[in-house]
Amino acid sequence: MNAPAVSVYLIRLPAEFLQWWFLEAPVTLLKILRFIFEAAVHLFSFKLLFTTYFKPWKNEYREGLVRTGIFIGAFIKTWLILFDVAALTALFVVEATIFAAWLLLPFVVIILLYGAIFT
Amino acid sequence: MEQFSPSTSRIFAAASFVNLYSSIFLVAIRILIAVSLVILLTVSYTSSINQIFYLIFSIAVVFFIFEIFYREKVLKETALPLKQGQVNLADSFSLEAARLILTTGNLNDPASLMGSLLNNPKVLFVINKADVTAEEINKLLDSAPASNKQLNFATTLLAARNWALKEGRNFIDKLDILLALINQDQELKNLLFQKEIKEADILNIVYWTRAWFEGDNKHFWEKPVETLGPGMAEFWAGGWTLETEKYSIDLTKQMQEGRESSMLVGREKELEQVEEVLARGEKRNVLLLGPPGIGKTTIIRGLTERSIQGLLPEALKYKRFLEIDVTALLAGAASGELEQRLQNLLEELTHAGNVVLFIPEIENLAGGSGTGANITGHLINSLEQGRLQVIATSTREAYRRFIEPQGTFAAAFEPIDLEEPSENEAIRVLEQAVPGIESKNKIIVTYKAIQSSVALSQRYMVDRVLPGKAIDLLDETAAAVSMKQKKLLEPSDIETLISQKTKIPVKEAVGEEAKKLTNLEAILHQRIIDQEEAIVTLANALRRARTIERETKRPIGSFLFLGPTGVGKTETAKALAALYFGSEESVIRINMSEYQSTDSINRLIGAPPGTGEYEEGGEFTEKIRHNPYSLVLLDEMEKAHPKVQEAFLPVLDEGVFEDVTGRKIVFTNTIIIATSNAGAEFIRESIQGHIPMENLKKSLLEKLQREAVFKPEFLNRFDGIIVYKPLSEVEIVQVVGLLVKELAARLQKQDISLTVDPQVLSWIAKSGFDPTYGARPLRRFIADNLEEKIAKEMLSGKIKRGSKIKATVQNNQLVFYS
Repeated sequence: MNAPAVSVYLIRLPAEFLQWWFLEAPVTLLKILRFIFEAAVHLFSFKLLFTTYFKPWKNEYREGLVRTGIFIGAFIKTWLILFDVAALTALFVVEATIFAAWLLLPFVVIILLYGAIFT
Repeated sequence: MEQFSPSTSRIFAAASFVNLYSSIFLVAIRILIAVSLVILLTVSYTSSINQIFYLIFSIAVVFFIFEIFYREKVLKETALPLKQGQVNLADSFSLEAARLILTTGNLNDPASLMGSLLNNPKVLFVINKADVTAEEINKLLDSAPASNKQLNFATTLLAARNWALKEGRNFIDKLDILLALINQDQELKNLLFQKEIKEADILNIVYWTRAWFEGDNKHFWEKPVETLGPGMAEFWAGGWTLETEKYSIDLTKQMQEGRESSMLVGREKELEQVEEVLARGEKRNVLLLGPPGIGKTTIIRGLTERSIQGLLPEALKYKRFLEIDVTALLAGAASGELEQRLQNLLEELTHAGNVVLFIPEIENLAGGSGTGANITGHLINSLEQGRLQVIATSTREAYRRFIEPQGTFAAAFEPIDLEEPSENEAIRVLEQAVPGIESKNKIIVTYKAIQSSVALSQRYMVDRVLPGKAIDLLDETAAAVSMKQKKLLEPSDIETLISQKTKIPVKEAVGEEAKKLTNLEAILHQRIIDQEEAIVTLANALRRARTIERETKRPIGSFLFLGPTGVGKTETAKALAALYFGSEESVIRINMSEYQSTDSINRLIGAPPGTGEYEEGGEFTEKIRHNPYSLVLLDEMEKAHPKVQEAFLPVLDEGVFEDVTGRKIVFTNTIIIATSNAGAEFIRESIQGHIPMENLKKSLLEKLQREAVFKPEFLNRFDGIIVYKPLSEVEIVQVVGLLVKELAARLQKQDISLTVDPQVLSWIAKSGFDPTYGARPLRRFIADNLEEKIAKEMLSGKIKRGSKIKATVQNNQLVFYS
């Protein structure tokens, strides 16, 4: 059996790397970041807080307690919505930074090398 | 034409690189570089020269980037899918399989290839579950004859491809190479043959291995976010269920805490049906019907698990599955209190909005419990309006008796019948259950043990269904094996347990038992005089039952014994029961003369509904239900009403009898013997006329059909019809000899030795024999004369412990000498 030479693979490696780093990996990274963001939206119940905003707390149905239930629910949910908006914004900023850092990392290396050698 | 050309294959090129990059030498260098870079970075950071720090930092980042690239790209290189007309087969190997091929010294040497494979945990799992060890394989391949030490690797590759396709996969991995190697190498083939592992078995083991090691192959980001569990506000969206929690078990909570797991395999169709019903607008109530052990609760657990994982439709996602505890609900409830409890519970559940209620054995709420309480009326409104989502379970029989008659209540549910899974599906369910059994009992369960558990439970636990009965059998055997401090649960352990439970020999007949089976005729003749045809027919049937696998569910054997009274018909049945079931107690004797009228069939299969005895079931069917491993002796069959005879046709044909409640009584593990005196006089005359036995039997059967004693369809269903001939004088003396020998054996237990003159035997035979009743009165005669006299002598002290007595005849009287 003729085994492939490692050198053949090594010659192909730089092109493979560039394709992976700038095309394949960013797509996967975007999927991961999107999943994390959606997971946060889901786990913080962002949508549910809006859709149940005027529903009584714990579905209270007993006469005389419904209004209080609605008030308590709206009060807690308002604070939670504010918290969610802040947390999700922060998360978005962090994710955008990570994505940009991924794309820029090889250039950062080149700049650093340039700085080390020519300055 | 497909070629295998690794030199031009991308995956093999990657494999070459990985083999080099992960070699010990390069791994050591990589570690060294990493450590050096960390040290240099720390040192340069503290120094004042920025250029050096930048240089080292950029080298470190390049190194870091390359390691990411190696792990995320190179190591995850995927194969091209297998397809028709593929040019290079090497492109369709997994990276791991390619690495294995590249590192194997001699691919044409089975020992070398297997040696490489055996380094893989998946391969080891497969061979261990096939009850083979790595040492066993190595020893076998090393000692193989030279002619078997060569392998055509090209053929092995094609075989590996075929295995991959057979498994429904589109690339070849190490397990496919293992399967191909086993298939190509004669030594390995023989080994698996010895272990009784067939192709379907090995595929099942591989399926098990993949499920165990690979599980769900998806990356976390490819799964829906709902699988992470409910959001923080989900809990607040549902109402309080404080009252309900008093009378229910929270399945969702149990599963989230890891106290329960679903073990649900397959059942996709039923799950889809349940989901559809529970998600619709009205009558969102399902009733799962099936016998105990079929997997009704497993389906509910499966739904609970999927609901937690957010894998169900919106109407069922993140619901709380509460199992109603009927005992707690009914316990201590005074008049009116039960209704109040139920009312509170329904109100809570309606407003909670996030609960799926599971009611096990719903017949208990519909009058089927011991208290007879029927609270269906209170449930109907909630059920009909779709305010609740309910999954209930019941058996078909209980449904027919308690739920169906309550039309409105029954209509509120969508009944879904659960079918028993096939043996292969049951094996796969057991594979899921095995890890739990293994860790609980600290043992290893082989694949053959799983298979035996399914096959033997199917054959011997006929009143229950798969997979429940096989799981229980495996669990019980595991406990027994663990107590014996054994580490491996093998098929023989299951066989031993089944034999202990049923008293039926299950293991393959070897050694003493094989010898006994070979000499069955002689053993039966120790109790039965002459009747050669009967002895040979029964011995053959028994040998067949113990050696050759039965295909049908028919009884082990069914025979009709025809002949006069007292010629040994019943004795033969008893001897057979003692031989096959281990005891004469296993004979269920039914006097068919008690079934002469048409309505006697009620006693056989049970009284019709509406009568007081309906609940009791049939006298006959109940006996068989409680003793499914027995010899059924139907005495004086000719006296039974023709309709009763007809009722036995399905028993003889299919081994199944349906009682009046619709319950199936299975005769698969019984031997059925019907006896009849019909035509006794005809037999006697024919024997006296020296008519050959073959002709006699033919004429007798014609006569019995002509006289409508038995219908042809009844006679045709027996495995054998045996004619017993009247006993001759010589044979009667032999019978007396057997009876006296039996008495002598009993006396010997009291240390009294009895010997008798041949004259005594002839005297008893002459005096005790009655041509009408055959040899039957002989036993009574011996009791009245020989035993009676010995008893008197013992009371008078003449015969005592240690006495040696000899009996003879003088003046037509029995006399004893000491």
